[in-house]
Amino acid sequence: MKYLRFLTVITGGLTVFLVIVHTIQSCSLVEIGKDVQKIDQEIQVLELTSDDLTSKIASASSLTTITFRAKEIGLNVQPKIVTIEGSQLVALNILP
Amino acid sequence: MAILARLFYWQILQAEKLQKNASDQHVFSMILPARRGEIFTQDGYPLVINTPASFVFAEPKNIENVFQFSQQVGAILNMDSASISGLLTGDAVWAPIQHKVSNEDGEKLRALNLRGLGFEKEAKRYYPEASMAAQTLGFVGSDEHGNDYGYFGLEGFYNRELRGKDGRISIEKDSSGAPILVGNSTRIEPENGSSLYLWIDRSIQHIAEKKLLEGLEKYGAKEGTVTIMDPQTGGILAMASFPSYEPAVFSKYPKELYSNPIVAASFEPGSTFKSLVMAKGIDLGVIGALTTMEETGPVQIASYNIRTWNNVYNGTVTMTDVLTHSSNVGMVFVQQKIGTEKFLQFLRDSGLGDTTGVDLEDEARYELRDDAEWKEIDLATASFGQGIAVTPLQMVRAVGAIANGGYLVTPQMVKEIRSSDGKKSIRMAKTKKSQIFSKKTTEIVKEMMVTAVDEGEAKWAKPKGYRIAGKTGTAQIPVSGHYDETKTIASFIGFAPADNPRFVMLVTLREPSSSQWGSETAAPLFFSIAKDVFLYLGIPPQ
Repeated sequence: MKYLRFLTVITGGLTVFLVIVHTIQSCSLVEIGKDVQKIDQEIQVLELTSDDLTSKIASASSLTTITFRAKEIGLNVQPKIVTIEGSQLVALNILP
Repeated sequence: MAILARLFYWQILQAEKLQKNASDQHVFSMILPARRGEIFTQDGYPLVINTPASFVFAEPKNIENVFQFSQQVGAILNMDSASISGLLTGDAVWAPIQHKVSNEDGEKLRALNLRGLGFEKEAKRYYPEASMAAQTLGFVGSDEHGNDYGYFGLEGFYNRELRGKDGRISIEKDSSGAPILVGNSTRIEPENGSSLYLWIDRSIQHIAEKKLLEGLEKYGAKEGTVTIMDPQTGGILAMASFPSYEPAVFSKYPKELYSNPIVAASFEPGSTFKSLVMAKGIDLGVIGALTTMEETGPVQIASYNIRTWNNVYNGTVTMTDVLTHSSNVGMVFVQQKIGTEKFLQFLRDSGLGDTTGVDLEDEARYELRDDAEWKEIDLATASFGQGIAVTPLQMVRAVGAIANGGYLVTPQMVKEIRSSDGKKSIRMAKTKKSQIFSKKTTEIVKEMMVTAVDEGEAKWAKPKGYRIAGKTGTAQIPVSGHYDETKTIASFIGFAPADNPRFVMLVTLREPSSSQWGSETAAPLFFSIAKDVFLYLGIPPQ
């Protein structure tokens, strides 16, 4: 009889203990869930920022922009390319 | 007994439905969209990337004043306010207004702080080089479900690789909507699309487009194309064509501009085809570079008289002279030496009548007529490139065989496909090759083409110090079953440097008005582009 009562108390106590543990764990998981959601949102924001910056860099380094900037700073005239034929003397050839 | 029956009803018969109802209340599901892959030039510059945008929608029941709402939103989105009002009528709780709204416009709309106006983030395509290589790239539109889908060019051909695979998240939530990491939750991460690294070189593409635009203006041509290919690998270094469109706003342009004329439109190659016929004759041993013929006047085929382009006849001429002075009479002589059967086989071997196999969605196939349908006059005119239809890419590929020692290569746009995490990289298989000319033949024809440039009609425009192999072409345009003498397609095809070709290039100009001749329009444009490409590739004069 004593043994049965002991078993009932222990089982009851254990049940209450497990309910409390489960409740605490659930609460903690909800908190973690919120954290995960927050991290997901932050990742999304970072990805969008990264995309935005990538677009800006690509735009700034596009040939259209470079051409426009070059003209703005006065690089309007294409330099004439001078080619030296084999028979012509150049500085290196006159050295002994 | 009644309780047991009821329990059986709820637990067994209605179980699935009740589970679904319950999960709808406490399970949060959403699609995790895959990022579409991007497209880069071979030197690593972006041609197509993704940029943040917004999907703008309305919740009609929350809108205070539909008229004012439509006016304000329509003004920013450049939409008719009546069409917005139309979306907001009826019992709809939700109405889509516009996809892919730019960040700038999105911010303007947010600043209005309108009740009933909602936003969802999404990505849109961004083209840092604007319309560069537009017809090669294609564009992204929507499929029947409203999802992104690539059309034309690379976006169409590689749609599966670029689009990736959407992920999915399904997670239980609490009463406040926060996710709970217990119970049935699944999270399948999206597989982002792979990125394409092309053979196209940004600078060469820029040179080709800039010069082509200048050329169209200078020579008063209606349309034009420039195709530049590495003859060894088949890699396309540049593909330019005008008129073109802006892929970012493709819907504002006529649909006719969407396909790439370099692979989708045909033209009669005219005299540019002569170097190929000459190569076949030499390959078969029926003629040589110094074989002579008598060019004393027009040659009669059936009831037709075939003349030289300037109606000048030079008596005894060599095959090199025939190519240099682009003699139609001489080419008929070569075709007759080759013979009908071998000539038709040569057309097929050169890739005519079939696709090139290039990795672009819109490549068209122009079939050759059946062998039995070829008459003597058809064979004769085909020898100088009239009466046959080729795409610019087919011509580049065929002449590429003279440049690379006789091999017909498969042109390629994409050099490498890289997975989004950069871990997997697929280098495209080496191009398939089939030999159509012997190495010895190509060496002979190469010299003949160099002579054609140095002594031909376009010699005045050639950059000094460079050995360039090439051939001009002027083909009349067939209109309603006959040739219109006033309308021509002027072209020039060639490769350089002749002794170690780094590129083979074709320039075509449709209906140039300053002169109808290829030697006075397409050829100087070819040389002008070649001069800049030499500088860019660091190829010194010889």
